[in-house]
Order: sequence, then structure tokens, then C-alpha cells
Amino acid sequence: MVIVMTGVATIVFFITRIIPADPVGAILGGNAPIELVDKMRAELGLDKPIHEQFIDYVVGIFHGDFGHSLVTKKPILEDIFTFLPATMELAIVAMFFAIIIGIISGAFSAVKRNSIVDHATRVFSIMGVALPVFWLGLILLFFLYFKADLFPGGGRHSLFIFPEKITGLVLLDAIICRDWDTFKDALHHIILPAFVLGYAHAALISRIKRASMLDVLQQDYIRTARAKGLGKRVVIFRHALRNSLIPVVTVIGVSFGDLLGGAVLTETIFSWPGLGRYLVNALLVLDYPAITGGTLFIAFVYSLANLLVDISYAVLDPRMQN
Amino acid sequence: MSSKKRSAFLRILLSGIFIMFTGVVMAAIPKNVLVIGQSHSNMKTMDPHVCYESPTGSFVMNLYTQLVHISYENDKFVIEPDTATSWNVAADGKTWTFNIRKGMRFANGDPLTAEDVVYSLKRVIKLKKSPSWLLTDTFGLSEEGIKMIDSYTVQIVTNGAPENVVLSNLANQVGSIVNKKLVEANDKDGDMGMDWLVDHSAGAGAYVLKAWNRNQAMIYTANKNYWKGPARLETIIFKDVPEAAERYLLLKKGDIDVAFKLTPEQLAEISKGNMARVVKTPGQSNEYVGMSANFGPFKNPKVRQAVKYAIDYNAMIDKVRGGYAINNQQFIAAGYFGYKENNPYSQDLAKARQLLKEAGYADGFDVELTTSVTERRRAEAVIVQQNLAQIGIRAKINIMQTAQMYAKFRKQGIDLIVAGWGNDYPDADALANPFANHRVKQLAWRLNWLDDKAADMAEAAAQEKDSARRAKIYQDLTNYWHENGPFAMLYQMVETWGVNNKVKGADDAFGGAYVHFDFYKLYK
Amino acid sequence: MNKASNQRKDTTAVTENNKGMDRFRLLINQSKPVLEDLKHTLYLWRRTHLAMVGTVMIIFFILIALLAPVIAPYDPIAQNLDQRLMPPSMDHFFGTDQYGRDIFSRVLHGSRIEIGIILIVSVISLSIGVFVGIISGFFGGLVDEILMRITDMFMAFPRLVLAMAFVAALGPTLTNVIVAIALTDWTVYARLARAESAKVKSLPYIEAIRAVGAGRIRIMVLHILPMSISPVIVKLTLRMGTIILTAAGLGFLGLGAQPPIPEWGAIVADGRDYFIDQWWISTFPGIAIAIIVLGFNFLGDGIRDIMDPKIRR
Repeated sequence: MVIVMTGVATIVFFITRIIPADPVGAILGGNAPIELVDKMRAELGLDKPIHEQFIDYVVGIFHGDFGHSLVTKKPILEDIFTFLPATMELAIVAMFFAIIIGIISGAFSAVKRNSIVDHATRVFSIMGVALPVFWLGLILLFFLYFKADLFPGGGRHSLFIFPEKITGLVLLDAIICRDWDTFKDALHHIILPAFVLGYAHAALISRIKRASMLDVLQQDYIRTARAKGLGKRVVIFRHALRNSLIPVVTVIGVSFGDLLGGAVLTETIFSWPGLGRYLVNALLVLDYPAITGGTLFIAFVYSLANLLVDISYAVLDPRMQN
Repeated sequence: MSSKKRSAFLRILLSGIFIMFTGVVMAAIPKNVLVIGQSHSNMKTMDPHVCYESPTGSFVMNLYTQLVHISYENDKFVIEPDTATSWNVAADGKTWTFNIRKGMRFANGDPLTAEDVVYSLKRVIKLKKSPSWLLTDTFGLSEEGIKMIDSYTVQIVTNGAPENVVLSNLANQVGSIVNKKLVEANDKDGDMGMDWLVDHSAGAGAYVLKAWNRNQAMIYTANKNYWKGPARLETIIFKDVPEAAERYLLLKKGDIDVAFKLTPEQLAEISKGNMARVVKTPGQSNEYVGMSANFGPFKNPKVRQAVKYAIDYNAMIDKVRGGYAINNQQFIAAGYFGYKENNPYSQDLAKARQLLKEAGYADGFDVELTTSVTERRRAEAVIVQQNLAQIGIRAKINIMQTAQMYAKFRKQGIDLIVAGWGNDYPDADALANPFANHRVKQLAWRLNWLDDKAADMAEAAAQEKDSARRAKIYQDLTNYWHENGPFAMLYQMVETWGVNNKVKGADDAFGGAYVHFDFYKLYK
Repeated sequence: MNKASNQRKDTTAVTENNKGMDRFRLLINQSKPVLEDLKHTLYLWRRTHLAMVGTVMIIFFILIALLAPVIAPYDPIAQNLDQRLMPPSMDHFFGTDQYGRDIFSRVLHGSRIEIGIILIVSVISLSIGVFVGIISGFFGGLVDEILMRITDMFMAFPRLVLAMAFVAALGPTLTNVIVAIALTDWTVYARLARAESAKVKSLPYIEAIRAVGAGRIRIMVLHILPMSISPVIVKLTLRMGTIILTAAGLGFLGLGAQPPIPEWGAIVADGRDYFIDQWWISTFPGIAIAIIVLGFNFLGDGIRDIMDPKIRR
């Protein structure tokens, strides 16, 4: 993983340095005279040859220093730790939605294979992939917030609530502090964005679940169980559902990365103060250190998620435990 | 789990969720709180001597007092006393003396004295960040030129710039007075508190920066020690809402009081309802078409005039801005010193074709029209393209990333551009230099319009102390520039807000934004 | 079936002994399993409703793309500021946008852009992916190790994030969007092709060809490539919808194709400020995206079902 992350850092660095424009000009704005631009460029070390910049950058990373944002002037690491929890929270709850929708619809359509129910369920789950996230987000905001008044209109929690900050995950912090009003409020706020984000990833899980469930249902032991006289439901719930989970877990790891990517869009629609929006802002103003730092961190979290999946794989599949 | 148990479980779960949310009340905004919805993507720092963004700079202004205050009354900018009760200029026109208000206190209770004023102005020069040129370049302020005479008197020496230039820049957020003691206490490695002031305030203004959760909300509370008395609105919350559609929904729903940057259609829709209204004021930026005087056909002033006659100014204002813009074809903005309506051009295709013919381009020519990715710019570029096509000029639109476009523009590398200019301070000088004086290496230079007559006039006006004579020079310059200059001014922006009807005083508070922007004038 | 071939045998027996006919018969007999399989596939395809629906949707999409200039009632790019923000009517089926452009025409023309994006991204990412994958699988060892580490590095990014970084770096144009998506998408095919070629490599017939003296390149291009391409193609079909969505997502963030190009994602993004009162601007292209992605997903799902030996049985 160290090798991969070093490679990732290299890729990110060179992507950001091939930009033909000057970030300093972007930061100072169109009015700034050329002398000021040159001065700031020298201050930031952007006038050095690229290999020197690269060495500075790599050395910095190994010291835990990702540089300072050209925009907020704060250390990148500090910025990332401010915004990462919001994204993590959103991604985790979204994953939860994706898994629930995915597993239920996948299992359902496998059991009722080739029936109308199967088709309807599959269409529903595939719709999640097909609808552009940002479009669905706006529609839901319009109907569920503006028209029906069921959900709040964006943000992480109400304006007049000031949550205690321990882990940065508002829901978790509220539980720790036993602050149930904040918990309710934050939960209320997270449902819509998490659903939109999760729904888009439910289809993949659903598809895998359906395939693996079909596979399991054809296995001999299922037939044996049925032959023993066990009810259909019992067989499905006790045997098939659980044993067809393993391939689903693999897919969850992969989806998590796409989920982090999708968060970029969802966060913009729902005014969610996360890393995705931080990154988009950084990209739009060409804030190099923020782009490199943010991208690197997302890649890091993604790799970490895959590692966790490998571990949970071992837990779920007894054969892999030896 | 049997199916019966299962469905019972489901039922409990669902009713649990239901009960949970019946408890969640969507709180209405209290009477002493104002909630503003705007995008935080351009908010970098709240340090008054570093911040150079709009509208952030005008938010910062409300946290501090300046030596003088700039106000917007009867469509004109006027200077009022603030930290200084009075001031005078010596006969040399360079030495200014300011008398500091006695008994003034910072928000934390510390007394405000001449020492803080001197520290603040020197801090601007020492830090030398983006806005510092407003003091050092426009009227030549230097560290040696700032002196404390006694605890309530400060003297500064300028390069002799006109009165309005000096005062309107001191009234800007860069002239804010910071609390020396407090800032020094938060110094880190000699940064003069720059790191700390990013999300703290140390001023005597109407409000105090209480908290700023990035990309979420920034909170102001009223300063009890404000010299005019505490503001009526106790709390102001700047909620980050990046999407215009969402700001619009929140405003219509009453979840925010003020929505920034709505589309003309959304504004039209709002003014139809009875929940909110539209507040507007002439803005501090304009849109222009710039023609490089170095590019073949544009070398001829007749071709430049032809372009000015080809553009459909009214269509630009109505169709692109939904009417929220002013037809102002000179570089001086409405409300500024030296402004007098002067719009010689309107679309006249026959005349434009005639001019092209005289210049020897009866069959037109090909040119690349560069603009940035912004939606509005695109629309303008397309209209310009169509207008030019009507007189035979074939423009090919090249859309560039804003930063990349300016990088190219700064190297004099663009032949035809649609862009905008944000005004730096409310005086004609702030615009005459970039638009007419190539020696400052700004827009005129970038477009290769190296006209010494115009440059001389701009410089003469900047040194003229008699206001009437100064205004006259600007009018002559404007006429000369209209005929020869490389710019076709599309319009002056109008700033707009959607404001809930419960909010009072918004017209006064937002008038002249973002030069003047006064939350103190708001109440509910 | 046997009956049919028997009959043919009889007829050939009646005619004179013809060498050419013999060879033809041989060909028929040899390809019989393939034909049988194809028939079965066709049968399965007809049985798999979703695949059929998907195919119809895609064919419809391609037809529209081909006929767009003929069907579209208006120029998709020319502005008509007197016709701004008109709701859907007989003149403008999908209404007009803030520049008075006919949304219906823009959506129709947009289909050509989408097909262009899909095709070019597919070709680029497939070539890179298959090239890397086959070399990696065929040579194994250090080459494999290095190439797969590089692939891992690219896979360590969420795809949209990497594409965003690329586009921001290269500048937001349609070409760069295509390049960026292709550069992030090839890893999927590289992995698949590697697995396949590693499998094929050890098959006896490759050994035989090698023994005959065929060169490495010849083996890779003529024998391994055709054998490992089909699962890659299936994967490609499944990913086509994702390609459109990524392009649209980039467009939404202002990092995609720039108007006036009628790329669907860009139209949706363009209309989002008008979403509430002038819903038609972003709704119709949004639906168009949804339908096409749905089509590709149905098709991909169907193909997967058909190819799956377990379901085939």
C-alpha cells in the first residue's frame, strides 16, 4: 500500500503541474498587475524547476506536511481534517442505504426470478444508476423539502444548533454526548443526501446480490434443506441470504470509492461541508496543494476501505480463516 | 425470524422513524437574527488587511471601524466621520491630520487610541498582501509617513493624491483599525496575527466574528461597545448555499432572510410573490469587449468604432441580465466622483458597415473571440458574435478557464476579449488608469492601446486637487476614449438580492454594494 | 438438425463429387456448434426481456443520433433571445432554454455527442487496457508486477475525482473530458485482459503454436488477443452508461463540455438555476441520460445473463 500511495502522490503531483495556467493569477484575480503575480509565485516556490518542487513536496509528505492552501493559508492537513468527517459520515450513511436497498431488492428479484416483481425491482435499482445524481438531488429537494416540507433544505444540521465536536462525525458526537435533539436534527438532515448518494450505488449491489443469490439457490445444500421439509422462507432467510453475502462485500469495497467520488456532486447540491466540495473549490481556483492533498486523502481513504473489505471478507468466509 | 415477528419488527421500526421526526420542528428565524444565504466558495480570510474578495471584503468591513466611513446616499457615495471625528489637509496637499474619537472602545473593551490606528496602517504595509496597494500605490502611503502626534491625533503623509482618492481608500476594509494588543497577543512567528485573524475579529465595528465553520456557516454577533450603539440585529448567520436554485427555495420558504446572487428569472418570480422582494443597487463592476490595438483590423480606430456600433446594448442588458444592469458606456461607474451620463453608442448596423468599408474591411474579417467559462460571459460572447456577424466580422468563440484566460491576457496575447472589471475604490481614478493609461500596464496595455494622450490626461486628473477641474479632465478623457479607445462597454452590473419582507432597511444597508455595505442599518 | 444435414449430405451425394463443395461442407460442419450456440443465444436474448428492451432503447438512440440533423426542427446552437424560456409547446416540444435554443433539437443533437464520447472513450480505454493487460498477463513476472502496480495506482482514485483532476489540469473542453475519462477507465479492462491472457497463455494450443516457432508478438496479437477480448467487450457494454454519467457529472461541476455544445450533462447543468420555474430545461436532457444509461444497463445485464454458463443451462 505504501508503494501504491507513493505512486498516487506522484500521479497527483504531475497532474496538477501540467496545468498550463498560473494558479497565482487565479488567486489574485484579473485585476492584479504582473509584478504582484511574479512576487507571489516566488513566495510559493512555484518559480523553481519542477524536479525541485517535486522533491520539496515528497519530503513534505513524509513529514506529514502537505503544504499550505494557497487560498485559506491554513495547513492542508488541518483543512482536510475539518472536512473529511462530514464526507465520511455522508458516505457511511449512504453506504448503509445502498446496502439496504441493494440487498433487499437483489434478494427479492432472485427469489421471484423472471416475474414482474423481479423486473420491477431491477428497474427500480437500475434507475438509481441511470438518474444523474445532481438531477435527482434537485428534484427531491424541490418536492420533499419545498413542496412537502418533509426534509430540511440542505446543510449538515440546523443553523441554531451548535454540536459538540469530538470526532467530527455529528451523529456519533451527539450519541456520545447524549444530545438527542442534535442527533435527531442531524439524522433528519443526512437522510436525503445520503439516500441520493446511496441509491446510485444500490444497483450494483443489487445486481451482485441477485446473481450470487441465484447461484446459492441452485446449490445442493439448499435443495437438501428444502427436501428436509424446511419452509421456503426459512431456507431463504437462514441459508441463501447469508451465504450469498460474500460477493456483495467485495463489491461494497469497490463502491465505496465511487461513493466518495459521487459525494463531490451530492455535497454541492445539499450544501454539505465535506471534502468533495473542498476539492471542487480547490480545482476551480487551481489551489495546487489543496488539490494534491485532497485527492491524495480520498485515495487513501478508498484504499483503506478496500483493506477493511479484505479483512471482513476473512471474517465472513470461514474457509478463509485458516 | 418468523414472518409475523418480522412484520411486527418492521412496523415498530417505521413508527419509530415517524415519531422521531414529528419531534423535529423546522424552527422559524427569530426576530433578532438575520440569515443570509450565499456561496462561501470565494471566502478565504476575514483579516481586513489581507482579504481582497467580493463580497467578503464588505462583510469584513462590518467587524471594524475605519478612519472614515463611506456611505451611499441619493445615488452618490459620501464620506462620513467614523474613528476620526474630523480631519484636515495641510497647504502642501500631502500632510493629513486625523482627530481620533475619544472614548472609543474595541469589542473586547480595550480603548481605541491613535496607537492602534498607526499600528493598523503600518500592518497593511508590512504584510504587503493583495489589498495593500490601495494605500501604498493610490496615495503613496509609507511606513515613515504614518505618525502618532498624541493619543488622539494621527498624521499621514501622502503623495498629494486628490482628497476623494485618499478618503475613499481609507474607508475601504483595508483601512480597518485592529486592536493592537489583541492582535499582538495572537502573533505567530511574527505574522502580526495574520493566521489568527483568518477566522477571528479584533475590531470596534458593529459586529464581532463569533464563529466560522467553513463551507457551513459564519456567525456574527452585535458589538455591545459599538460607538453608534449596539446594532438592532443581534446575530447574523451567513449560511453557505452554493446552488442558486437552493437559495431561491430557501428564501421562498422563509428559511433564509437574504439570498445572494439569484438569476434574473428567480428575481422576477420573487417580486411577484408577497413573501420577499428584490433589492438592487448599481454594482461595482462592468462588462466590456476589448479589442487589441495590435491585431490587424483593430489597429484602425474606425474598425473599433464599427464594433461599438454593431453591439446591441439593450439586448445585452435585457436578455443576459433580465434588465438588471445599467447602460453605462464610460469607464466611470454610476455614483462615483466624476460620473456624468455619457452613452454615445447604440446599435446602428448601417453605420457600422460604413465604417468597416471606410477602413477597407467591407468583406469583414476573421477573429478569435476569447472569454472565460462563466455562464454569463458565454451568453455575452454569443451575442457579440452574432452582432459582429451582422456586419460581416466572423468571430470564433474560444472559451478558456478564467485563470488561463488572464494569464494569456496579461501577456498581451488576446485579440478580442469579453471580460469584466471589478472596481477597486469608488473614484474615477480607479478606472481611468486601467482603462486609459497604458503606463500602469493594465487593461489598456494588455490590449496594446499605447495612447500617450489618454495616459497623460489620466495622470493629470490624478494630480489635480481642484475637484471641478478634475471632473472636467475626466469628461474630456471620456470623450476622447469613446472615439479612440479599444473598449466597447457592455454594461455596468446591478447587484441584486432577494430579501424577505420582514427585513427592514435593506435598501439603505445594501446601497452602493459592495463599497458600502452596512448590516448596522438592518432591522426586523 | 441431424435430419437437415443428412438431407444435405444426400443432395451432395447425388451431385458429382466436388472438392469445393466438400470444403464448404466441412466448414458448415465445423461451425455447427458455433451456429447452434448463436441460435441458443438468440433464443435466450428473446427470453431475457430486459436485454431486449435495452437493445431496442440503444437502437432507438443510435437511430436518433444518425437522423438528428434531419429530425431536429431547429439549430441546436443558434440563440434566439426572443424565444427565451418558452415552456413546452407544439413549436418547441421540450421548450427553450435561457438563450432561446430549442431543447428538443439540443437533446437530439446531443445524442451524437454522447455517442462520440462513448465511442472514443471506449476505443482509447480499451486499447490502453487490453495492451497493458495482455502484456502483463503474457509475460508475467516483473513486467506483470510493475504494470499491475501502476494499474493499482490509477485504481486507488475514485474515478470521478481522478477525471476531475485531469480535466481541471487540461482545461474543460469536450476533447479533454474524453481523454480524462479514458485515462481513468482503462484500468478495468487491463485487469480483465490480464486475467484472461494469463489463463489462455497456459492452454496447450498456445504451447503447440510456440513449439511450431511462432513469435511472441504473433502469439499475442493473433491468438491471445482474440481469445481474451470477449469478456472485455461485455464489460465495456456495461460501462457505457457510466461513461455518459461521468461526462454529465463533470459538466455539472463546470468541468465538462462547454456550452453551446449540446452535451446532455452540460444542458442539465446549464438549466439548474432555472430548475424550479423553468423545469423543462434540465428535465428533458436528464430523462434522456436516464433512458440511455438504463438501456446500456439492461443490455449489459442481459448479456451477462446470456453469457453466464449457469443461467445458460
